Amino acid sequence: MLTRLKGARIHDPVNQLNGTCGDIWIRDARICEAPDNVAEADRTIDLEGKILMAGAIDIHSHIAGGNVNNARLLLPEQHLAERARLPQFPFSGAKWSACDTGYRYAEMGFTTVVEPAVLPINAHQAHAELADIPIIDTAGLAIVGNDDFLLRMLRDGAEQARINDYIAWTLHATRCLGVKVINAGGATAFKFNQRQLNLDDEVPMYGMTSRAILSAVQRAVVQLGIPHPVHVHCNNLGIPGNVNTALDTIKAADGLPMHLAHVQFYGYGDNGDSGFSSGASALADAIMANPNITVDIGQVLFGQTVTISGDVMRQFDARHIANPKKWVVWEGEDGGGGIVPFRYRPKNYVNALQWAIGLELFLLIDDPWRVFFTTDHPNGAPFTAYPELFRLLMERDYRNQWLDRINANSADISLLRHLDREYDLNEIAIMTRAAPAKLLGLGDRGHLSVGAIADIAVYQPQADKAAMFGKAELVFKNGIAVVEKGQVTRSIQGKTHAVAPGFDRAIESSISDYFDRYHLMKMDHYKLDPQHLLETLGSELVLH
Amino acid sequence: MNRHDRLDTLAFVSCPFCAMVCDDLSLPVHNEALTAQQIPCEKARTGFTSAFQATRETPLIHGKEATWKQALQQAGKMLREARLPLFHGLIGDLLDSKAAVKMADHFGGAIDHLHGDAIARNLQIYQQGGWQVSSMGEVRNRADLVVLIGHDPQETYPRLHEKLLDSTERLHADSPPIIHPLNHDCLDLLSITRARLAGKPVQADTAGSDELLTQITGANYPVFIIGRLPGKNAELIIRTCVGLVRDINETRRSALLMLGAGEGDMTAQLSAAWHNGFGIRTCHAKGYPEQDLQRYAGNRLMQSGETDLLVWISSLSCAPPPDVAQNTIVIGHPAMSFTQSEPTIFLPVGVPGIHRSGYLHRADGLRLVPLKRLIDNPLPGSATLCEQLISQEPRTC
Repeated sequence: MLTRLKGARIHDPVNQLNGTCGDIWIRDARICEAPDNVAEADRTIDLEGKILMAGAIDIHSHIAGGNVNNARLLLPEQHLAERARLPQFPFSGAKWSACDTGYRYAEMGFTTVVEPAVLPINAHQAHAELADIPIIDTAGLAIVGNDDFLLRMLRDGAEQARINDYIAWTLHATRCLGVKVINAGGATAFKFNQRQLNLDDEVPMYGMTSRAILSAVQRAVVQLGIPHPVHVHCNNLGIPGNVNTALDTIKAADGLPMHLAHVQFYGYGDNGDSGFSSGASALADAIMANPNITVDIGQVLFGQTVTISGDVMRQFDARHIANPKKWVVWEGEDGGGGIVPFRYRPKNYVNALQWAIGLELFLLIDDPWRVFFTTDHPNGAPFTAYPELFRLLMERDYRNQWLDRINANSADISLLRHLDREYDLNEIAIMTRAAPAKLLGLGDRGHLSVGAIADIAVYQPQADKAAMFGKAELVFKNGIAVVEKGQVTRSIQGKTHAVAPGFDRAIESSISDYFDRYHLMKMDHYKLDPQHLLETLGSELVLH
Repeated sequence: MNRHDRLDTLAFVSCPFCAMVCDDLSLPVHNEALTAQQIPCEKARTGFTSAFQATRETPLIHGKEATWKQALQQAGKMLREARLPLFHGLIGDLLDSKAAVKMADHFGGAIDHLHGDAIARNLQIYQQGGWQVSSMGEVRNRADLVVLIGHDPQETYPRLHEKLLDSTERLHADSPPIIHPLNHDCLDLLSITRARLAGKPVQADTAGSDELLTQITGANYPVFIIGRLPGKNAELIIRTCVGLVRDINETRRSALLMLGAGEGDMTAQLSAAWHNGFGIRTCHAKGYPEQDLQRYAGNRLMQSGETDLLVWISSLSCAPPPDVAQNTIVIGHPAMSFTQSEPTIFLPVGVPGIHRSGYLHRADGLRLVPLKRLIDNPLPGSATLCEQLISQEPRTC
């Protein structure tokens, strides 16, 4: 099947196309060269006047795993069904279901999404859920940094090479695309009744600092050659004055690649009468000065949502602000987490400032290759609110309208009114396509080069960017049209991506012995077997 | 079964027959066949033996053998014509539960689980205030006091002590935890203990709570394990434990651990949640999922006659479905026998972890345990039947 997408305005930063009119050719699942004779096309779709980009990629969105699923159960009132299912689309009326996640992402032109918090012991369930998300490709990031085996290795002074083996083994066992460190040592410290852990605090029972854990994992990722840098949820999330923690963590990266997740939640100073202020400027400066650092924002948007996090210490601390007043905290082998529902209110000083800080960071970090478009779904806002965020980034007037509506003190002290910058389509294409593919090491997407996977989103240009990005005109996944005029028209099975770095297999004998001594499971059953995943769940793994 | 002809023993077999889902069983091979007689756990022994001995390979219509084509055609017709099919039992693994919830969505029916009353009770407590829980592994390695609440936990979880409570090799302790067992009559004791811990005046005689109070205040990580808990006070007992744990955590550490009854209860609830958003007792009759923990209780739907077709799914248990007036389709264990009345249609399916591969959550829900196929068997899995029935009866609206 040879398809010609004719005459669209193409935004493909990798190939330096910034609104250039042209054709894209698809043969089966891939982008191909134009044939000598255009009449060879089996199908030609006229896209004159439309905007065409590669499919969008979300690097940080909590879409699967036990913590997410338990949040569904906790909050039925947040996702009551509003419409009946469509005959051809199972569970299409079931909001916040796995199917709904795939359909809603696809409708906006997103074709790859990363679940950033797969607790290894829960990896089988995370993959089971990912396999049930239709259309989009997915991947997980495996959580390390509170795992007893790793902390013991560090306590016992293990060589970095052995740490590398263990990190590679964890990725092999969990079939993930990279590793995530969440408040390194924090879940462990909470187990022993510690309620806060700073970067240089010692983790009880183990005697090393949070910094030491983070550095060891970071070095392992670098030395193993894993494309995605260590993905870091810093200490002290949400606490006034925590911009210093983020700045210290950037220094701790020591020039090596590191990704800081949802930095809006770390953009907090403690100045002013209320002891809560914006630290966005200092944080953005540090990010701009350190090209080894990438960040995603975790933008807050107003409304009801739920915070879902593996930072059990933080979630326990947030129990008092639960809205509605119910919360879940759990702990398990090598980690923990919590679920705290929350409503961000525009007239609330802190919430309004959080909203402004996220936008300040987006606008002050003047490098769309290193700042990523996220709401930390659903922590800052559900991903279904992305259209609003596109509009805020692309329309200064719209931001200013909001500044007139939010808490006046927050609006006054925010830099936002003085920031003229508006993201253009090329920057959006970098931030949501080209850069995430590069950051994740997924070379076959995020661009429209010959040979790339034919994941393509087409938009109708409109003054209202929320409307434009909310409902794509046309979306192709693997060369198959899956969305037309903002509606899913075909559901296909997505694939799950993972890396498979090599490691010294000798480590398996000590891990196996450790499991037999302390765990309720055999090591071999802890590890995911791709054949078993395929046979039982239809989950197709792509190893990179 | 000749796949085992070169082995003496098949090691590290996962067992789907109780909530713990242990994965360390050894099955000896005799005459090229796996045997279960030497498994020390009675639940596992019974489960594996009945699956190994099951011989049924063909469906039944009104108790008479039929071809798969005939049986599926009739089942499809019944599903298409049913006003409100009820997909119930769900005594199976992840693939069985997925099949049930997909069919409920497709045919506009409701789903419930055999242990739906307990699941719904727990869900209601959870949804009203949340809770703070631990995992089986954390109890094994860290708890120094276990308040073990429930009716005969040894019968429900035969290896609970061996695997969870009696280990001497622990990550964060040298000796096993103190065990304080309590039965379903413990509400007063727990309430008085909670009040005393909070420093509130108590009018009742408090001497009986001295021991528990001392144990809790002396522990670093007391865990309240709730096993099977029948009786009218069950909900209040759980709520009291949720409150106790919440109070203790204000200054120290503590957690709850809900173990459920097994028979696929955790898997049914969790997998239904990521499919329909809500879990069991959700109905798709309106075209969208709607959960109502009272209205869509399976027993109530059957007794009231609101459901006109029972689809009983039970791949792990040979126990027959409830004897009801409605037409019944059983997607069930191949050794199932029907003592009272034959179902309209019986579709025998492979047992997960024996005849086919699968997945089952262990009791704390944190871990989904892979189940491997152990022996060859021609029976389909319920997933295959589900796909067949759905493609045979496409939705028009």
